[in-house]
Amino acid sequence: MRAHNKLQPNAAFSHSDCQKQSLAIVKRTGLILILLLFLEGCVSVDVTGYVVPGETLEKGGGYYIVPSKDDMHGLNELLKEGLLAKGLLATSGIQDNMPEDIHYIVEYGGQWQWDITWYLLNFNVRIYHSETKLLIASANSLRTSLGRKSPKFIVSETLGKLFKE
Amino acid sequence: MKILTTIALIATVLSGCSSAPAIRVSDTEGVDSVSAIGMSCTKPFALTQDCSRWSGPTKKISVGGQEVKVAGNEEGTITVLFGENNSKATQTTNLGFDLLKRELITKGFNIVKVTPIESAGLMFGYAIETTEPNYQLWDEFSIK
Repeated sequence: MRAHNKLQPNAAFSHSDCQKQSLAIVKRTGLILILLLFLEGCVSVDVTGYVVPGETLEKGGGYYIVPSKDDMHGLNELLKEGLLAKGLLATSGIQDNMPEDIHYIVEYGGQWQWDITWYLLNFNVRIYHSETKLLIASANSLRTSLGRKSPKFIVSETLGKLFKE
Repeated sequence: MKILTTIALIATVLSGCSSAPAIRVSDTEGVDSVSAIGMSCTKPFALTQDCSRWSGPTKKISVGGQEVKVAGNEEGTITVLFGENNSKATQTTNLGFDLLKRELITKGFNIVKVTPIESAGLMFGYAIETTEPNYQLWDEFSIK
């Protein structure tokens, strides 16, 4: 009987301890869920290509890349490499120096973001007719922090939406 | 200490999603942008056609299969276009602009000014100003 009486407070203490532990687990799970929600907002991959209806991109036409004034990361060179790798005739320079045999003007933009390291969040390439200066095609890559890839990969992936292998 | 660590962790995660300048079309290089959050129907563009004080441009149009929303000023010389209102805002706005520009140039309009409208690292829209009234042009592209 004595032993039983002695056990009672201990059992009560154990029950309370268990409740505290459960509460701690619930709190921890809640915190992890909240963090996952934030992280989920940072995981987004969307790569798209668009060609204006009725227009075509000829592989034989010359592509002239006009370097963006905001490009501090050499995307110009990666774009040129990407186009050449797809078997296209690509050169670059300022618009005033554009050779006469050019069919397409290529413009682009990159949005960089800091998250532990710099990464290319958004990359956009636009192709215009060299004479009319009107849009023919456009492609875009959106890769948030946890979906990040190297700029070279992103440029190639984006061009892949316009020029099939 | 735990609280501080948690706050620091959340701040780090959030800072990863913080804003950087949005990609803009070359027509607006060097042009000061207008804040999408700060703008209204009355300023800075005095939009009297198809503008909601809550959501901005309301007239849905489809150009080249791309949907955008537009609003115009009284004279119709300014068209404000908005792309999607989400993480795809920049790409849909930039594409929308180029497609509207295609229509305007093809139909002989002279674009005199293009103002980017951006906030939080996203390009939400452009204001396109022409010498002659252009806004009526979008009627034929209207969708419900």
